[in-house]
Amino acid sequence: MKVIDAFMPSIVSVPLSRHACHCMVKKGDSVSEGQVIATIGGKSTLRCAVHSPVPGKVIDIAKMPLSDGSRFFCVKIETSGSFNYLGKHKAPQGEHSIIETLSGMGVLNTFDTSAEAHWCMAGSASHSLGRPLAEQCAATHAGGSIVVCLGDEDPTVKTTSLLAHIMAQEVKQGAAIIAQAVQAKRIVFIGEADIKDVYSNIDNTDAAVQFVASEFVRYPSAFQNDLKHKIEGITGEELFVDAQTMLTAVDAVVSGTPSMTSYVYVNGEAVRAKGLLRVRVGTPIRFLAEQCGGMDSNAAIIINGLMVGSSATSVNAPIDKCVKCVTFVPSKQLRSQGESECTRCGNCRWVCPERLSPDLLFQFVTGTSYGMEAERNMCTGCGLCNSVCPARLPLVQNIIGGVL
Amino acid sequence: MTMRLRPFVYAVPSVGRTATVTLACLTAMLTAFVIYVGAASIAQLSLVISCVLGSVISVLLYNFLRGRPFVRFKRSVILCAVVEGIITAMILPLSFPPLHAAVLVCVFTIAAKHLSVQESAMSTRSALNVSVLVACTAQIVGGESYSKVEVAATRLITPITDALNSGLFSLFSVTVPEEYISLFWTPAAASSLSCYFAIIVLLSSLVLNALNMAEGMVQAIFCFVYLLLVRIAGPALYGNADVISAALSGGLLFYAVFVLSCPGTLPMSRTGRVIYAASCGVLAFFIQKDGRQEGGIAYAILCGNIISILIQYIEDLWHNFVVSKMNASLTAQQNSHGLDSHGAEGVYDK
Repeated sequence: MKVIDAFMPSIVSVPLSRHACHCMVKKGDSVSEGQVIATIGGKSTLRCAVHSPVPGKVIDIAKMPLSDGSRFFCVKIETSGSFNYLGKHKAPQGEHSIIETLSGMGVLNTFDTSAEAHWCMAGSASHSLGRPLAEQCAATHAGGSIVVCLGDEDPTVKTTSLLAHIMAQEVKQGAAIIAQAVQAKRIVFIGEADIKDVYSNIDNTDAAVQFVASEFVRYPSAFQNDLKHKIEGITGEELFVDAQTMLTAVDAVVSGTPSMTSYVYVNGEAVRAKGLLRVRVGTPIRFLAEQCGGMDSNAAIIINGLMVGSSATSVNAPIDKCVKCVTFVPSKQLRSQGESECTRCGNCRWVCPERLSPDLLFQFVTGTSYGMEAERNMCTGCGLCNSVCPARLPLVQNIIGGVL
Repeated sequence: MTMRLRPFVYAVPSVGRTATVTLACLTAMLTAFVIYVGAASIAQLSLVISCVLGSVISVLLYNFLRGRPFVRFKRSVILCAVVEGIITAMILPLSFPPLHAAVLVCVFTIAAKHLSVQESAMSTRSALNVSVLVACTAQIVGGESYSKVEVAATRLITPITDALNSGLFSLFSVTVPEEYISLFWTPAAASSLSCYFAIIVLLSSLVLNALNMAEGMVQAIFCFVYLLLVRIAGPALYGNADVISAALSGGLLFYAVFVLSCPGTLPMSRTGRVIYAASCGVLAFFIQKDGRQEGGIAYAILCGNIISILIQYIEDLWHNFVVSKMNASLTAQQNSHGLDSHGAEGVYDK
């Protein structure tokens, strides 16, 4: 399999972040490819930029449905004019540190893009869900380690593992760049055993390179808490990243290309073909389906995996930087999610990898039980309890929901 | 497009789907009974209908009394009520008055849900099986007064028996008498519908277990313990060690497949379920004896439900103990990393 460039849409809708986003364009403005159209505020002075993925004219700034089912403001740009980066190689301009470059180029850390984050354990700085990579690098202590996950947290998503196989050299180059940025002493790659030889060493880096073989067939196995148990000498302050983040970092630092694309694995029984596409941010989801031969009219759209993902409510929802996988599923295959009473089957207790009692935690959250705050904090949000509940109770949503 | 919550793939069938398949299996039994018995089945069908109505009305009434609007009812709730009603009718004595049956079902369903020791905002499943409650009450009230329905043996029994003996059992040098083969279909006389059509119950068990809709382990352990005791202790206590007859009479298979593992009455751990199933098997042996005391299994399951409550209490105690140890070790680990009590820095910032 190889990476294919997705169709270029005539109109893109660039989502603006919910976190203190400052929009720098207005309706009617002309923008060029790669131009900064918004900035995302961070905790520090490092602000992450949002770039226009296409040249053209801003036709609207309005709320529209996003890929996670929510609604938020998007900048709609009609494509016209010449491209500055597409098909061209540009060297980075000006003298900037790596972290400043990552900030200016809008690089996000896309490690662990589950619908509800479950990294609330043991205080790692790499607290994801699309956080600016520059901010995380600045918060990482020098002399530590970076961990590059080469597998997907959801077994139905294959993006990261495919990228790890197809674009290994770029991934390694990105790891070396980030290691230099955070002055890491160790780079740990966690991936399948068949790529061990490829990732055992990296040129042009002073950091020690380590490869940890791991199978990602069992779920869960690629979340941060699962990966920590596989690494020796873990301190809890490592920076966790994935292959896609490394590719974006290489484009930003080496080629001077802003973060305007996302690698998306398209699959599902409701489309004719599947494949790994490099998609411009803001591309409507229906474009991906058309490129894959069309989709069934009553298909459901699942973003980022059947276990940890979310459902999009519109085919016109735009792709953003955190979208790794789009699955088109026939609606009839999605099981009924109508709730019924708890049957006290015990399945949720058996399946919980943390050996919790999701049924009792659900009672605690609904206010009929007490004294389970500590146990609630142990929940990693894997969602296995939901998948084995015959009553189809929204267990993980209620348990985790109050934690965020 | 409809917004859905993750996950989008499930490993077990839903309550509604399980109830649908169970209803199909029970309908097959009822249909076979109607076809086989003919016009004489009207009285028994009226019993089934009254129990179903009583079950559905009790669910509606209970939720109305708790202030829950009717419009929020899911199809699965009604389906489960219908299934419970049919099961109750099939273990009640065949000649039990339908009106009395409806009232008993209604009263016991509401009372059991209200008094359930596991009741919470999430679950109103009764800790005691309502069907066996009603059946035991009916037997206590009526004693031995209920008449049995005598059903003539099918004319197909003889050729079927001959075919099996010549084609299958001859391989093991065994000849099975006609009476045993007939037990798979209809007993000579029985006091409840649960005693009929053991072959359909066996097929239902296969279907439900294959679809992961039944607790096969609980069913198997219950039957194994009961039949083992019949084989070992039966001769000494009852002068009879006929395992096949004990398995196919008294509604043992029906109780094992449809009644024993009623949701809400089972312990939640595997160990607890093994203990529960074995306890029910032992109790059934002493109450049902070797199958001659019809309806005894209902009492055994009722006693087993009470044991299950105790088992679940111990399970919760053990769980709290394990979690408290996990929490203590986690707190120690976090303190060694110098983190706050939430285990992360600023993770609750919004």
